[in-house]
Amino acid sequence: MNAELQSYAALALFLLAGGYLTLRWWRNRKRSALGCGSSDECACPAPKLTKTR
Amino acid sequence: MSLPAHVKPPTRAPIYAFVGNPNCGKSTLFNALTGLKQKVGNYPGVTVERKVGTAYSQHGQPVTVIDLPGAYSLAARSPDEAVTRDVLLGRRTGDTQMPDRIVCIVDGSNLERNLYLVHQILDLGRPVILVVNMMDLVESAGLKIRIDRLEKELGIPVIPAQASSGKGHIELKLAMSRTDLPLPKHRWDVPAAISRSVAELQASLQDNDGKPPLIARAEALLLLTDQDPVRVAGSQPLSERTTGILDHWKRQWQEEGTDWSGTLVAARYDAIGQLVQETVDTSAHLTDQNTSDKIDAVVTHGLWGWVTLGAIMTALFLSIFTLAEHPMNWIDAGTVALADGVKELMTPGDLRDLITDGVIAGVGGVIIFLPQILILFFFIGLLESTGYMARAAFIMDRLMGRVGLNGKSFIPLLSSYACAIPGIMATRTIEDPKDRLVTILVAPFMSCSARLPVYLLMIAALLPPGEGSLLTRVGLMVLMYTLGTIGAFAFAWLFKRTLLRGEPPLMIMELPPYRVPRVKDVVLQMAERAGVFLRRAGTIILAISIVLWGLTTYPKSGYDISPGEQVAQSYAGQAGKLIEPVIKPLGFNWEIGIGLISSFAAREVFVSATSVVFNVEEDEEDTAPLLQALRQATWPDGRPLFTPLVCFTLMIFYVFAMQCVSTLAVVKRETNSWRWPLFQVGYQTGFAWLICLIIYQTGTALGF
Amino acid sequence: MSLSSQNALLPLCQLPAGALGLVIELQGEGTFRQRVRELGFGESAEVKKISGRSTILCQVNGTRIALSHEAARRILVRPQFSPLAQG
Repeated sequence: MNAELQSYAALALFLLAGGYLTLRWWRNRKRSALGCGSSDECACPAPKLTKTR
Repeated sequence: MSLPAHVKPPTRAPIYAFVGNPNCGKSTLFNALTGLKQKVGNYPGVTVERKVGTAYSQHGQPVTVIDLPGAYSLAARSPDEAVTRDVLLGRRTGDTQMPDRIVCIVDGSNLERNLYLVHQILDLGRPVILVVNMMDLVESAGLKIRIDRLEKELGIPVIPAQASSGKGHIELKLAMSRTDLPLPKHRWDVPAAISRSVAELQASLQDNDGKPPLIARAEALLLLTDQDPVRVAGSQPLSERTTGILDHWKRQWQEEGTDWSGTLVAARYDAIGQLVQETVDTSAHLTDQNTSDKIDAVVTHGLWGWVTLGAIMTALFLSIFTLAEHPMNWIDAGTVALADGVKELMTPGDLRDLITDGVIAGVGGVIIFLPQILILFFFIGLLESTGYMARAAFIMDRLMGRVGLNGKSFIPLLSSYACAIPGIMATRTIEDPKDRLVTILVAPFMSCSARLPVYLLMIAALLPPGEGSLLTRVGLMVLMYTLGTIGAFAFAWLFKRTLLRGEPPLMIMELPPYRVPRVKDVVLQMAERAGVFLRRAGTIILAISIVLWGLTTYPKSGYDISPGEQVAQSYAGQAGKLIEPVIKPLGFNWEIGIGLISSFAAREVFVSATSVVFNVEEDEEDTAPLLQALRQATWPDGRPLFTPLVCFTLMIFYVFAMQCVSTLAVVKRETNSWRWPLFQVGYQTGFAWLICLIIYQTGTALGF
Repeated sequence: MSLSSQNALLPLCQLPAGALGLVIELQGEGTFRQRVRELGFGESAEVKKISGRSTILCQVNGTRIALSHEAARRILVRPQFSPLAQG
């Protein structure tokens, strides 16, 4: 693959990634009524701690 | 009276609900029965986990099972309990069907307390199966439960079980497969004084809210005696007429100065006491200290409790460092080899740079922390399943009391060590709005797992392999976690005294008996988390890494300049330079500035960002490991950039600064205004800046 | 049950560690009282205090329950004579 073609491919991937992030952000904004766990917003355990009253 | 519809042979497979007190082994039983056929999600509008699974009857028919959150009573005191109540009363028709049949799971070693909820459930007039769990504990406590007698008294199938060993599972399945499940013999009379109000409210619930008669009666009883019902989003509200009747009776009783709720609880306990007396043989009841008592004597002790907590935390971090070292080296070597391989295969060009400097460096820089994160989650799971977590909360309650919060705030704060988002959501269990807000405001100070990669990278940069002892590394790590914790408590104290004054609410909490953890469950949960982490690395982090690479590459200058100059004039470089005047007094340059800005996406992105920035700058054919690249980074005048003091200051900055957009979005949602998240950015980042300024300037003056 | 009449009511927080007490009266808000009763901590329940000055740990009916000091202050008990007073 020559350098010019690579430049275009890289630019396209860059825009694609940017688009993906924007879309994701937009989607999350819309369904923000749902809690954590419904999306993979945080890579963390939702610690199921012993119930307190 | 004609039989209610659900007692006739069902036309569709019945829906079962699993109900029980917290810590009765309900979830283990649910997992055993439904296996992997589970759907885990949230109840819409509430942060309560919704678990629905499919079990198979004896004849291979699928049976839907809902695992309801653990509850002590239908008189809910937390959103979890409110969901359980609302599903059982058919108030959540929007997302969950009202169960046809109910499986009540009780802890046999504590039958009396557990039967309280069962007694309320029997009011509902649905077919019930009672599972007496923890029969091993019953035996070791010297108790003897006469199951047949219990069955006869209640008129429902009673199954002795031992969820951990699988005893009773087949019997339960058999019972659940029955089409002719009997209705419970549930004889108890509502105290005469309130029966008129119950009847009136019941009639209204039947006519205006469309409830079946027995459910309406149970709901009427509940509404009349529970003064402060916790309401959750997504549940059907009461009709106007019913609310009117309810208000009328409440007002009247208030004027009379009578409170029927105590009478009702006592009436239920009287009935239960009689039942227990007839069915439980306590003659051999052992009164001496059991194992749990002996452990608790140490673990909840004023001094030894703290020592234990400290030792456990140290062991946790120690194993994070030592056990993860080799896997991390392998991943590191693998990443470098992969990048070198790509460089060999492809001709030089933008795409090759994107793959090596963007994708491989960025994603690899985060994946390398997988072993450590797995170890952290393994420990958290282990501590939870043994029952130690509740003890930790107990010890911490003393400390929380001093800053004006109670032990309940500890659970959200503890969760925040994993991630502030579930932590902030867990604050919903705090009834007092001021306490809740204070907890939300300070929760992001707890060092979340996203900060772990940053700390690890900086500690590695601070103490290169071979320098500094393992103990120093662990000590630094513990220091960061401690500083965050102290920060959270100090600001909570400050807020409780200034912005949000108020009395700390009352706390009551059950400490479950110690149990031998089920390693299989812990490992399963850990694997689940690893999956989430990897998925995230493969999607968001991947996209961010590519975007970051783009931001450090574009706009192209068009001239033949060195890679370093190219980064400097890129979008990212311009942004970094824009904030450089602000962060220069802390010893950070614009390249670190890029990392700080990109941390707003997620803190661990700092690692990817520095990987991308410093790898793009290098023009070598071999990929330099990140640490080496950091060590070679310099100021324009040739001074090294990452001096030990700068690494330390940077860590401190990450401890205190508010840099997480996701957290801010959650705070906005939970507090319903932009005021508090903006305040959080201001005070946290301002404080971080100030303290870093002091540390860096003092350190420089002292010659570090 | 042998109740000694000289024994005055004590808030649970003042009961010495290891001692037994009989819950006589609950104070505080209705929601609090209801939950305390539902946990089996209601009037005429027998409580064994295990430890604690600020946060109190006690045993009721075979369950270990932790209470904040403020909560314990609202539970009035009558101290019971117990051979296991040293706990």
